[in-house]
Amino acid sequence: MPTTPPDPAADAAQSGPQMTVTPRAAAIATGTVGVAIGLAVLFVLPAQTGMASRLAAMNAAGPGFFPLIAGLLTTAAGLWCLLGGRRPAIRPMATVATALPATVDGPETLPWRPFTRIAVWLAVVAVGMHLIGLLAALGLAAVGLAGAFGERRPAWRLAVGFATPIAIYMVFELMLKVQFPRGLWF
Amino acid sequence: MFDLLGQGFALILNGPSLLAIFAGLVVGIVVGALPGLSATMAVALLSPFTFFMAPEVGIPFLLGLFKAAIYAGSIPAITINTPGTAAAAATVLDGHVLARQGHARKALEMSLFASVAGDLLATFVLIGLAGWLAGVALKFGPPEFVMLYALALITITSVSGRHAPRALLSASIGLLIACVGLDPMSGAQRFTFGSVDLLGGVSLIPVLIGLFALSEVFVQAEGAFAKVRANVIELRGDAPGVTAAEMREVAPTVLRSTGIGVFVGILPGIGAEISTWLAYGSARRWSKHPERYGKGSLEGVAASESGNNAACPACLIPMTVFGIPGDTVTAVLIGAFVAQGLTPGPLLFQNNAPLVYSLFASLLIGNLLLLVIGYFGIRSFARITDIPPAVLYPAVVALCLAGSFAVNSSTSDVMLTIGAGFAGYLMRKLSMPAPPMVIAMLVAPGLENGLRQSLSMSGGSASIFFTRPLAATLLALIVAGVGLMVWRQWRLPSTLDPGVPKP
Repeated sequence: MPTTPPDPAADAAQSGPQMTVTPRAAAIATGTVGVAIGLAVLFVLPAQTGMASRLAAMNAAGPGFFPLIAGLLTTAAGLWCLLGGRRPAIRPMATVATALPATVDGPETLPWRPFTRIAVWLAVVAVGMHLIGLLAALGLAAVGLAGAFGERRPAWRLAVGFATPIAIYMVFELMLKVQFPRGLWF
Repeated sequence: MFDLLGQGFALILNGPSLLAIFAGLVVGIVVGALPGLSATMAVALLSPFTFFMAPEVGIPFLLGLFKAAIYAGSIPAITINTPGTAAAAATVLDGHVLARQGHARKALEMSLFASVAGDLLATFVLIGLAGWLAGVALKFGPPEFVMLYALALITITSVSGRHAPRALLSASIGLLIACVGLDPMSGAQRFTFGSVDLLGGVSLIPVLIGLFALSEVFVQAEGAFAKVRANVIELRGDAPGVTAAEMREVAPTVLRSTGIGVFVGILPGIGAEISTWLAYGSARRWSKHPERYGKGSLEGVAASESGNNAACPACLIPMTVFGIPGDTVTAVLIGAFVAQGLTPGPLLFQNNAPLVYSLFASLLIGNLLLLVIGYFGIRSFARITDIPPAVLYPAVVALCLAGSFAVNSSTSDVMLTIGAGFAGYLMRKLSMPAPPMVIAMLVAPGLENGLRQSLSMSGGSASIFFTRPLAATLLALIVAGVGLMVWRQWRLPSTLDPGVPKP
């Protein structure tokens, strides 16, 4: 029975700096985004999209009617989040059963190091699929992602980088006849 | 109904379909047994594969995957004290304690038997109820459907508890996303910004893969640094299993938990994650030995497992009958149905009845196969958690992106998946639930069409929603739901948890 006691401090040190998102900050952030999206839909976007003339005639059967309702709802929900964020955020979770463990609103953490590692390799795929093709980009990303998930041995990372696109090629291209983009350089 | 079920069996009893069910079950067990890979993620990840199969092959594969993943979440819950899926969270309480007491096999077998029993009974309810409900739903007009869709959105929002405002925001953004593209009635462009890619709207499957699968990779990357594998239980081959007497003892609990699972599953937007806790709580209240709960009660394992698996077939009732997803997995399943040219709703039963009943038949067959595979594979499946994350997650990312490309052979969909992955991760960090957004995206077309048709029928007057009895009843439920949600939000701050310091 292998037992390794958890060490949150060591884990935090390894995962690097992190951003703490308090419940109040989360409520304010979501509320602000909601109000901004809602107001954009209501006032800004109609003037910049093909809906300009349609929204002006806001009849019930028009194409602008439903987006208008959704925009109003988004604004209202954003305001509700903002108002909720101004009030004390510590409260037990609304339990749906007596067995459900009562949890409280605690701060969320966003560790930058793992987030950045994954984000960088996804960006590699996003750019690489146009240049070297999707399969090669996935292979390249797999090498990096294996490292991001703790694999320190270069040979193993390379093996993951080769095996992943080969498996994808066999399943999608050979079996399902999906043609992946080859990229500008090939 | 029995004629249709017979036709369904005739349609499904062939090599490819049975092989698909078998493969779905095996993949589902593997996925469910791996902490961090959820049933929703697996169904989203693998649904692009089914687009290349016939509906009676591809959909049973996903259904098998769904039920097996929900069951298999209990395997790591019992062996390593970590639920494989959120639906198995309650199983940890007694399952792992039993394992530490040397009864790992007993707990695993009870989990399997209770899951299969709950799933099987709920499938019978699905078969008995869905066809009849579809007949009722055919009598609904646009106003009734509008109210039903709105009620679904209110339900999924209100069960988000303290995050209800953010759930409402998530749902309303989902409604807006669904507006992108050409207006279905007039053909006018909405929120396309001149982009040709957006004319057809936002592709659902890439969004689902990003929100539910790719975002999970970010979350798992956070834990990749913590090399904690505490309390791993090795399963001995000669360990005693569940006895017939123990099965008899838990039978009433399984029946009650199945009833709870079915009820919760039928409610739109919530599924196994909630039903498992409700079933566990109810079992403890009704138990002759409530003091054993949390200390290694087989009844507790049976309650939570039958409760969560019963919700799986029940979630298919609102999905197939009304086109409203019962939970996030069925939200993804709707995408798979649509990709196969099948539109969930009452007309599905009218136009494709044999196919629908073949899917129900596949659930019954899947249960029997799950029992066999689960029973004989218990020791092997208990070792699945040994797959290293450095191999697993690069493969998950590759499957996410290759799968989203395969949907429309479009690199824009790959970008959309990556964007949705980032959005999904940030939404988690901001405690903004993603399911309301997805469910809103799914019901929005029906909601908009119904709303516009209703207002056209009434000459622009909203009175049509008050004067038709069923629509008015549903409207009353919506008003009550909104009132309750707002009241709870204002009441909750007064019950501060003394154990946590104020910020």
